[in-house]
This record gives sequence, structure tokens and C-alpha cells, in this order.
Amino acid sequence: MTFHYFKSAVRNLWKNRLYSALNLSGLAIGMTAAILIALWVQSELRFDGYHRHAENLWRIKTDLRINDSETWNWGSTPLRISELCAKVPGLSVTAQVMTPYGNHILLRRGPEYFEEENYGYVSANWFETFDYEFAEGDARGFGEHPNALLLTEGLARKIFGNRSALGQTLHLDSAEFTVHAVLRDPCPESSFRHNLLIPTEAWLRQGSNRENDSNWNNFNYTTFVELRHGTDPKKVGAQLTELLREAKQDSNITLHLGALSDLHFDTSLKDDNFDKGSRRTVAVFSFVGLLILLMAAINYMSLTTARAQTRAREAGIRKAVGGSRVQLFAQFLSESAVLAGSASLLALLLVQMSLPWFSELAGRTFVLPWSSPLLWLLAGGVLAATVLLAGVYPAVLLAGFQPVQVLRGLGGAMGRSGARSVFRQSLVVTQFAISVALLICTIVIGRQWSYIQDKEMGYEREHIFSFEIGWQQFAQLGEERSLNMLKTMKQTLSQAPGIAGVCNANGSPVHIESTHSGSVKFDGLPPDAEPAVSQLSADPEYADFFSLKMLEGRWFENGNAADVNNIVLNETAARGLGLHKPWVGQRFGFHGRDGQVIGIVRDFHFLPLHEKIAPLVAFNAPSWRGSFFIKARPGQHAEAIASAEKAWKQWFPERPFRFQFIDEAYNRMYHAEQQASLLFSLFAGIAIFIAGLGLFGLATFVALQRTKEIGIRKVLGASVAGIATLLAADFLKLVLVAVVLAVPPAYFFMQRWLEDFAYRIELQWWMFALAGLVATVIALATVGAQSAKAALADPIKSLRSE
Amino acid sequence: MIQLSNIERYYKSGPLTTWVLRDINLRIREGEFVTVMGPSGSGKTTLMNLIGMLDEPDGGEYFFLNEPVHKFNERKRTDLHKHYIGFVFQAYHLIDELTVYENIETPLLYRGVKSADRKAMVAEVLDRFNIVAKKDLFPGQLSGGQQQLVGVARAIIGKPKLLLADEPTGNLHSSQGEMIMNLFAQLHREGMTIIQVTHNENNARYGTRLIELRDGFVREDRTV
Repeated sequence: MTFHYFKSAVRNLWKNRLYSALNLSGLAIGMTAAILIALWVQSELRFDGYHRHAENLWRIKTDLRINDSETWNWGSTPLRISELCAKVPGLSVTAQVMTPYGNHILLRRGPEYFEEENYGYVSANWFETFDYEFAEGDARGFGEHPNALLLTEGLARKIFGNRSALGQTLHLDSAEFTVHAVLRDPCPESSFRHNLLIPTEAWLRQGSNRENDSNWNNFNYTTFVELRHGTDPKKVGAQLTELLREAKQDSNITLHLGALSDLHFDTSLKDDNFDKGSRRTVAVFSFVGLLILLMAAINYMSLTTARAQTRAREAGIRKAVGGSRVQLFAQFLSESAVLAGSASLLALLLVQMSLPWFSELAGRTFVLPWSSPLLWLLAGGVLAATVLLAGVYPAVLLAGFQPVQVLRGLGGAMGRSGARSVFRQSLVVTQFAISVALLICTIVIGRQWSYIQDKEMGYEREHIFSFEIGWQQFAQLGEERSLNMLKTMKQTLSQAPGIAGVCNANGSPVHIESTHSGSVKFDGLPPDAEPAVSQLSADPEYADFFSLKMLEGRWFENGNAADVNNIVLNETAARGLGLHKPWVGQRFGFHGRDGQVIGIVRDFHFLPLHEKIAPLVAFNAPSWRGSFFIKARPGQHAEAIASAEKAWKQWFPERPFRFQFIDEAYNRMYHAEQQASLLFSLFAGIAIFIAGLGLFGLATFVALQRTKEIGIRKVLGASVAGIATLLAADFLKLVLVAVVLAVPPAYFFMQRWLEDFAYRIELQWWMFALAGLVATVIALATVGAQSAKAALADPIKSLRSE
Repeated sequence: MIQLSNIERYYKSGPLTTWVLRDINLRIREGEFVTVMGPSGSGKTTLMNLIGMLDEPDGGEYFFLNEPVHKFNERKRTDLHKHYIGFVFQAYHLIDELTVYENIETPLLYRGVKSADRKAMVAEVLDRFNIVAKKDLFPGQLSGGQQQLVGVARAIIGKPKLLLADEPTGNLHSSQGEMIMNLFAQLHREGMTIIQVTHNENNARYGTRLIELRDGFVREDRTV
């Protein structure tokens, strides 16, 4: 019997190749999208979950109360927190990682230098706490010897080529290290992206590091603890807080524990460099995945039920020769299963093919784990969901046909219900409503991004690149020589070929991250207020260089000795801090310097557009400025870069020269979100495509079904255009209803999404109208061709066939 | 074998009641070959469908082999129907996607007959109807007469007690029609109970009893 079902299913599908192809491609594309999304979602949700002890691992987080209105949240702790941890019951392991602030690390092999940005100093028990895979050697004995390091395959290949790295020698500064083991490259679901791991001990042995890091005020170690089963993390946090407050003699500090699984999603921290995901994005994508699957299922349902009339005769005959409702149900359901099964296989193939491309788009490497039960569970789940969603209703419908009605004659009682059933109409409306809503979202997201791209930020960022001098280099040179270096470097650069302008500061206007509180002093500031401000140390060229506009007063001047202590505020600072008027000329103390406000600069966006412009204090302290900004002459970028490199090499011959264009830095700030938007648009496009497929199939069918009606109308003198309009109008009405239904939810969600941006576009009627128009055009294009074909058909033929 | 008492069938549309069958009282014994005649709309097909359990009466009682069909639910009716009744239609109603062989086999599948038995039974019928050579063709590749032959073969494969034929020759040339009627006559001789609906006086002569319907009433009921 099963074989019989299968056979007739295959024959039926083959006989109606157009519908089968539409159904198959719709389902397969929908499933492909759903599986890709599922892969991404589960990879997000399982972030850092692969460590054996993952469930019991927690990170210690620090809240530092700055003043009544502000608390700083850090993901780091002092080094010696480990001593305190040892006193808390329920904690079994304390592992720490630290990446020194500032520059990349420089490795030397023989005469060759290599720079690595992702590295960390880790405690000796790091590899017992976290799981790594090893390409060569293992972690045994790590930490016993401070001059042993681990690197990843990728870095090993960069340094040693194809030779084995194990046991080889590398130099960090003057110290000699041996390669203890080679790690596999970090897995995609790991927050730890280090390519190079060195024992903390090696760091502490250098210079005064041990002394510095032992200070309770230095929060530069990320500390993980393993809790014994049943230990309450809140209680541990409270105990640690008490111990630290006592050790540090500071009651403004609070510690608490954050789960390892939250490392990837915790965005509340200032100093956290782990790769961040967003739970909301995960939720949105899961939802979109389900929607796409739903659309594919709806396609299947509407196409299958539309064809039900054709199949009704078969159902009637089968019943007349003795088939029961259950048997017919089984047959039609197995037809769905055959189709959905083929679609899943096709989908797996499509997923496999699109993975490299999807990985690139998502910025993460995905593989289809063919041998993993999870994949088959996923594919099976999608399949089962599809069969249930899409197959059951048509099967019930078909199995329910009464042979008496169906076999009476052709046409007859079934009449037009096949084409115009309320059920099918609501399916089309649902599908198109979802598509239109997704379309609206795509348009709004697209507009917001181009708004960000084109927004007048209040500064110039074209043709400008920057390079940075790390604090190690400053330390190397000492204070006096450092100042000399900055001065001469600026001079060299400003005269070098290809360069139109140079300035020197601690940050570019793209993103000024440095904040400060505590030393701000001016008349009118309440005695106990400690306002937090963003701070910029800039040279006199800075304002002109970036085309900042002054609202009042002036920027710093060369050769003005008083300017060393003077201050420029931005508009927000002048207003927000409550500075007395006139602003210019007010006394202002900052970092122990006493000067006056010499100018107010017009607000410019030095923070991502998610955030409002903050109060900014610009001051003029040469020793603070680690970054050079260079404006290349148009068309002479290469020369400018070469000149900059030459200047760099004069001072730091052993360090590779690294630079970046600041508009790239700007784009990178929004990279993750832009990627998410891109993916969203892609999946929205897929959903709309699927809806189009369904509508096309339905239109073809309806045209076919109304052949007789069309024939009669033509005989009675209807024009081709009139008939095409008649057929298309039916669908257009549905699409219009869909547009009306789609607008409110889309409006609501987009309003919410935009609220995340401090600077955003307004939702406007044309965005909704455009989405409606696009949907209408798609509907017209798919339905129109079929309608025209039907209208052009020879009425004699169509009437005779009845 | 069949007993119909006060059977009624009507359609309601708004305040109007359209009677299709009224006050039908019939008793049909095993082995009879009954012809039902009457003008269009007299209720012939409805009567056939009621007897064939594809339709339900709105009133009255129907006993089939002493079973009260009017009290049965759909499942029990289907069960009775699939074991005892075969159908032949004017429009043949073969399943286009199935071959001749598979069309004939279908009722056996629904009855749950074992594969080996099925093969034997279908082979026997193919042989008897002389259509062995056509067994792998699809209905579209056959003439009307051949299609109806397959239709009859399908109807009798399960050895039903009752064969219902609704204008079996209505779409056929006269020679093909004659062939089908001869087949019916032969089946009748072998003991099968047959009820046919026809407009054709010639076909009526094959039967043993003639029932004439008009406006839903039995107007005449006589032995031929």
C-alpha cells in the first residue's frame, strides 16, 4: 500500500510538473533559508558553550560607582582578585586572561618581525579551565615554565610556514620563548579569539609589571571562576564585593558574576573586547526563519488546494471503488511527504552550496555537520513542520470530497469555489501581508543606513588615514624624547610628498572613546558634582584639519603659551554642564590644569549614532597624543602612505607600519549591524520571492480554471484587455488588503528598531506606499502574464474542451 | 438483498424544497438484473448513489443484506460498500495517472488484499476481458470502449454481490455498447446482482426487471 501511495504520488507530481516545480522550489528555497538561519541562530546561542565546564564558569564583573548619576561597568578585575577568590567557599578554580592595553605584540623569529593583535597572557590553569583543541603538542606543563607560549595554526603558519612550530624559538622583546604547543584556530563559537597565549608569569617578570598589576586600582585582568555545583553566584558576588571593598578600602565598588554563556551577549561593559552578538537579532532572525518557512508552507497549501478540484475527481473515484477517508488522507499526505522530502534533500544541497558565501556574509565560518545528529534533527524537524503545516489541510480537504458531488459531472457543484475560496484567499493575503511587512522593514532599514552613511557628522573624513604610536613606544623613548619624536614626526610629515595636512591627537572625531570624570572644575559647578565628560587631546591644527566649526571663540593656537592650560568645549558640554555665560572666558580646570574656555566648537558626532552627542572637553597636552592623522592629496594616497611609513621607520624601524583610513573605521563601527541588515534584506527578498512563486502558480491555475468563463466572455464580445483586467483585478484586491494589514505591525516594529538610534530617520508614508507598490508590481507581473495568456486563448478551443 | 422503505431525498434552497426521490419502496433480490429508466432529473442517479452508499437518504430505511445502512456512520458504510458493491460510470472515471493494471488493482488495495493474491486476481480479470496486452497503458491511450471495459473489470475484481452501472454505454459507440452489455449479461448469468440506469431501450432488454422513475416516484415496476 505504501508503495502504491508513493507511486501515485510521484506520477501525480510528474504529471503536474509546473506546480510540482513551483512547489518544490518554493519549499526548497524556504527550507534552505530556514536551515541557514537555524545554523546561525544555534551558533549564536551556543557561543562558548562547548567548554566542558561551561555551565559552571562565570566571569567576575565590576561596577564602579562614579557619582550619583553614573556607574561604570567593567568586565575586568585587579590581578589579585584571585587571592580573594581563594577565600570564598564554593569557588574551585580561578583563571585569568589579560591583554595589555595599547599596541599589538611584536614577535621576532631570527631577523623577521611579526605583529599579532589577538593575544593574551593567561594564568597557568587556563587550559584546565577552558577546552582547546591542539594541532601539535598539548597543554601539559603549561605555566611551569614562563617562557613557553602557545600559538594557533594560523599564526604558526604565518611565522614558520609549513614547518612544525613545536619547540621552535621566538623572541618577545629581548626574552626568548619556546613554542609549547600549537592550537587549532579558534572555533567560530568561541569568544576567545587569541592567536597567541603566553603565561601571565612572563608578563609579570617584565619591568615593574608585577608591582603595577598588584595594585588594587588596576582593573586589567578578566577573571573567570568555576563554581561548585549548587553555589549561588549572587552570594559569591556579594562575598567577593565585601572582600575587595576591604582590600581596596573603597565602598563604591561592587562585584558580581556573569555566566560564561552571557559573555557573547553582555553589552553593558565598557572595556569588553569579546565578540558581541545580540539576543534581539537572534530573536528577529528566528522569527524571520519561521516566517519564511510559513510562507513556503502557505505556498504549498494554496497551490495544492487550488488544484484540489482537479484532484477531486480522483478522490471521488477512489472513494467509489472503496477507498476510505483515512486511506485517501494517507495518500495525499504521502504526496506532500514525497514533495517535502525531495525539497529537504534539495535544501540540504543548496545549504551546502551556499555555505561558503553565507559564511562570508555572516562573518563566521559555518559547516554542515553531516555526521551530527543535530543536523538531521534540524532537517527532520523542518521537514515534519512543513508536512504538518502544508500537507495536512490539503489532505483533509481532498479526502473529504463526496464522490456524489464530484462524479456527477465535470464542473458542477465545485464550480468556482476552487479558485475563490475564502481560505485560499486568506492564505494569499497572509503571504503578501508578510512580504509587504518585510519589504517595509527592508526599506526603512536601508534608509536608516544611508542616513547614517550620508549624515552630516560635523567633520570631514575623506582622504584621511591615521596611524598610532603605542604606549610601549612612548615608554621606550621616555617622556622627553617622546615629545621630541611627536614634534619632529609632525614636521617631517607635513613636508612629505603626497600629504596635504597633518595633525596629532588622542582620537579621531569618528569615535572618541576616552572619558573622564573627577577633575572638572569651573564656576557654578555644584561642590560634590563630578560630571563625566569625553576628552580629546588635540593640537592646534585639529579643528581645521577635520573642518570642525567654531560656534564662539577660537581653537588652540600655535605659539600661544596660555593654550597649554586652556580648554575648548563642545556645545553640548557648554549647555549641559551649566557653564555660566558668556561661555568664552570662563575659568575651567581639567586634569589639574587651570585655564579658561577659549572657544565653543559646534557639536559633531564623535560617538556612534546610537548615542547622543556627549559633553566633550578638548585640551592641549602633547604627551597625550598617540595618533597621527594624515590627509592625502587627492589622487596621491599611495605617496602619502609611503611618506608616512618612511617617517615611522625613522623612529621605529623594527615595527611594521600600520594605518587605517578613518572612513573605514567609521564603516566598521556599524559593520555588525549592517551585516545583520544585509542578511535581513536577503531573507526578506527570499520570502517575497516565495510569495511571488505561489501567486504565479495560483494565477496560472485560476486562468486555467476559468477557461470556460473566459471563452464565453470572448464569444460575447469581451476584449482581451478587459479579460486580462478581470483576472488580474481579483488578485490585486487581495494584494491591497495585504498591504493594509501589513502596515500596522511593520510600523510598530520599525518604530521600535529606530528607537535604538539617537539619530534616526522619521517613518514616512512613502516607505509604506513604496512597499505596497513593489508588492503590487510583483503581483501584476506574475498574474498579468497568465491573465494575458488566458485572455488571448482561442475561445472555440476552450469551449470545445468542456 | 436490498430493501428500501419510504426513502426520501430532497434539496432545500431557501424556502423551496426540491424533491429528488419520494416515497421509494423497493425490494431487490439477489441475482436480479434491474434496469432503472426515466427522463433526465427523475432521480435515477440519486437512487443509484443511495443504493451504492455514496449518498445518504433524508428519510426512510435502507437495509442491505439485512444490515440497517441508514443507521450506519460513514466508516461502516464504506466498509460495507467496499466489500459488496462495484460501480461502473458513464464517464468511466478511471484514474488517469494509473495504468490499466493499477486501476483494476485499486479496489483490492483498499480492501487490504495481499500482494500475491492481488496479482493473481488482476491477471485473471485481464485474461478474462482479453486486455492483457493493454495492462501497462494509461487510460488516455485507450478507446472509450476499452476504457469502459477496464471500468467494468475494476468494478468486478473484488467479486461484489452488487454491480451498479450508471449509463455504462452512454458514451460508447453502439458496437462497443453491445460488447459491454453482453458482458453484463454474462456476469448476470454467473449470479451477480446488477442494477443499471439507461436511456437505451435495447440495453433494457438485457435486464430481468424494469423500474421507471418519474419526478422522484416509482411510476412502473415490472418484470421483463
